[in-house]
Amino acid sequence: MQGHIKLYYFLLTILVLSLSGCFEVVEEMVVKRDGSGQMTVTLNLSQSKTKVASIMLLDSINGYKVPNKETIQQGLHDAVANLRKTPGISKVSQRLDFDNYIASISFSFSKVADLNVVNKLIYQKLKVKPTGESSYSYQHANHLFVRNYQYSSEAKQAYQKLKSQDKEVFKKATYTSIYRFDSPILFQRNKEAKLSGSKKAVMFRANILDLINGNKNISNQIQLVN
Amino acid sequence: MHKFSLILLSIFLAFAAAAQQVENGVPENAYAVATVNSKYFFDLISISEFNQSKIGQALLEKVGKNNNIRYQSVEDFGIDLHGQVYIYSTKTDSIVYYGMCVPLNDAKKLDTLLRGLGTPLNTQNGLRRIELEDKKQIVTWNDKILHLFSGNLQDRFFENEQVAMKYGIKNRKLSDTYDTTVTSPEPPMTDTIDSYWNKADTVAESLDSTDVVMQEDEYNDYSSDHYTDSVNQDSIYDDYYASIAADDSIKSALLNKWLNNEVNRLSITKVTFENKSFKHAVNKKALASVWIRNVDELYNDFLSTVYSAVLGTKTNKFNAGFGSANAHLVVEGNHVKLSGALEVADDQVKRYHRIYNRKMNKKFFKYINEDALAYMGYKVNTQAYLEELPNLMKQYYGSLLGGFKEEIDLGATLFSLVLDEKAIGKVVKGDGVLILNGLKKQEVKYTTYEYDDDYNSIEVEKMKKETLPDFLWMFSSDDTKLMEKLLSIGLSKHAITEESGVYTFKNKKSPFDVHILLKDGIVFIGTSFESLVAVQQGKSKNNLSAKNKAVLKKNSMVLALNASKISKAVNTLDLSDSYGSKALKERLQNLGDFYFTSKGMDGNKMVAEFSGEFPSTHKNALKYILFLIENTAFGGM
Repeated sequence: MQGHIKLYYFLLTILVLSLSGCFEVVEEMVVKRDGSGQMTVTLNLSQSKTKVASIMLLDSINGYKVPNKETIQQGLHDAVANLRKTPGISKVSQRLDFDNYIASISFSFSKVADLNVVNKLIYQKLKVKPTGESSYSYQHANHLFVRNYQYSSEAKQAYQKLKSQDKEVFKKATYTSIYRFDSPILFQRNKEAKLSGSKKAVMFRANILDLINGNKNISNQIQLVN
Repeated sequence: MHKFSLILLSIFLAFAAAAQQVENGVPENAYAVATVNSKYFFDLISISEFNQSKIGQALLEKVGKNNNIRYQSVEDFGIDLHGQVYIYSTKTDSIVYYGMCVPLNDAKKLDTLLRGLGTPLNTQNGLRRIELEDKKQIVTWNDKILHLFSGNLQDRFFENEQVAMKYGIKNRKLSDTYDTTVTSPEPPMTDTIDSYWNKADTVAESLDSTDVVMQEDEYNDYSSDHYTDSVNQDSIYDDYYASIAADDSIKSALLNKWLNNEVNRLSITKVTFENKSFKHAVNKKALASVWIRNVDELYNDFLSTVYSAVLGTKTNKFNAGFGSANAHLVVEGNHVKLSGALEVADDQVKRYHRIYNRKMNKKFFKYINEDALAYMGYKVNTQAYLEELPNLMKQYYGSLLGGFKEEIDLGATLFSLVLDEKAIGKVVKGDGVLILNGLKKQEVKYTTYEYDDDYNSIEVEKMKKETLPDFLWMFSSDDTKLMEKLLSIGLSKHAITEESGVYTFKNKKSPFDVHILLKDGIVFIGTSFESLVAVQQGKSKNNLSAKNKAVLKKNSMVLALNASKISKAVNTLDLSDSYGSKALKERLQNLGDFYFTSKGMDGNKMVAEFSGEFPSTHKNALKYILFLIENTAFGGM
């Protein structure tokens, strides 16, 4: 339970720290032909490091408590410990750079569906109801990777309820996802996403505000060459 | 008359009164007196302008509505609009009185104005008297003066047992109720429990567990006891609240009686407040003034309960060595000046004079630019301050924490032993200036990602411009050896770099590099490397005005803000309107310089002053303030 609280504080920290200007979230995934792979999720606040450094000197900002360095480190450590206990998840590592304010977690998964368990776990730890349906799947038989996200207007409604200062934070925030495969890609369905030169990777970039407002959707179906 | 009208009228009365009178109505034992010079008020805002203003219109309408009269001007109230209003407070150990004296020029008009309050009781000498509904306020007036009285009983007085007994006050507390229950003649609770245990043991010895049945009479005893208890509990609360209500009723009657006695006392004696300290403090140019007889007395009266809550001990022995205090508000054109003075006890005067005995290093002036957004200058004698601090601590806290007097004395002695005041006084003499030169765009590195053709991410460093404060702090030092040694250690540990005689402390976590320079007995610490190199090479060009030089020279503490420059600086920030920056810019752009200054000691007084320059868009500062109030209260002119 203690660990859950710490993870909560860590994620709250991320939220609070991100209340300072632009930030980027990068989700990188390598999926092997057998459905196993690696994932790295990075939160980069480097562009706002001046403001973050100033905020770290405060006790609270905009009504949110500002955690200290030790609390953030402990939070990430607990998140790693929780991931290690998750079935199918291995080789968990973390990186926390307090000079540039970059945090990332990497891990291997035995099958793509394990990511749904990780997703569920995060929501459970955060004690929040996910807005919209989010899932990953990989069909062995026909080598189809599906990233599914069903948009819900709850995210937009929650955003609208934020104070205007807090809304500012999301205006320049970006989200990037890169899905890389062993085999060439036959096609991918998301019009906003791009196929790499080698035809083995798909990149999707969007402003987080567009995702909140439902203007863009991260869902995709990526068909590999059989 | 509606309470709101009374409040509105009181505010107005504070700015409207008869000319200088010998008889001002303030009793000799007043410990706090505020004066408002309505002549100056109506010199700054003419009566017709005030009548036309939204505040004036609201006042005329509200007062008129209560009397079914359509007032055209505040002159119709019967109040002399060219004199002095006095607001004062007197106190005894049992009650604090508040009074307001307003001179009149046409009492008949006031008779009409106040008829909504009720029928006045006419007493001798043409004095009319009305008790307001709650009997906690009394209004009296004759042909010359209107007097508003109110009072507050001192709770501490009634806590005294003999006093409470004399007036029939019970002072019951809920905890007393429980005490009564416990100390009632019934057997002590532990005995009861013990006897139950003994009884249970005896029964248990002779019965099986299945045989344990409560007898009917035992059950009845048990249930009736509990029922009675709950009834008792309700009646305990009822008794308690009834007792409180009875106490309140006695106190209200006493308040009314004493208030009436005070009104009678003052109505038969022609009172003129002629306290020497008050008369000495009078500033004839002030629009409003406040005078307090003794600040220590005020602390003891009003803060004793705060101290008792914080320190867990009741005290009325606060003795910081402060005497009378006064403050004056002066409006001259677009300038507003609020000045204050605090009298210091004779044995303390010398100490404070020693502390403030320091001259500002004139070399600082070369490095202060007139265009700076703000600066703060200070000059104290560090050595004298460190030497006097233990004595001041003894003075402040020794009297307050009587039980710890010896410990405080020991702490103060240790403090003196541990510190070498003279040596510290050489390293940091005590004079310095902190300048906010502006907000500077500065290149800042950040980390982001680029992607190759195959979308492999590559971590790259990029530069972006950020607006950061550019400040410079300088202070005098007669002995820079310690700092030189610290810088030398920093260099050897590679925590500091040196270039052109300027040391740079790079802290990855700090948004900006901090540069340090030691030159001509001054320690410079700033954010601009170029500025410090210019200082080192004697190429620093600044243009501090004679006015600002004088302000820095003659004051022990200065905080100067250049509002118009700050407004321009805010303009350069990339702030969205959601941060309220638009309103901030609008408010600031027309304002001039603001100074908060303190000369330290002036004779036996500690003095401080705030002065501000308001926009010339209005004829004088008072009109601008009225404009702001109307804008806020009535949503625009």
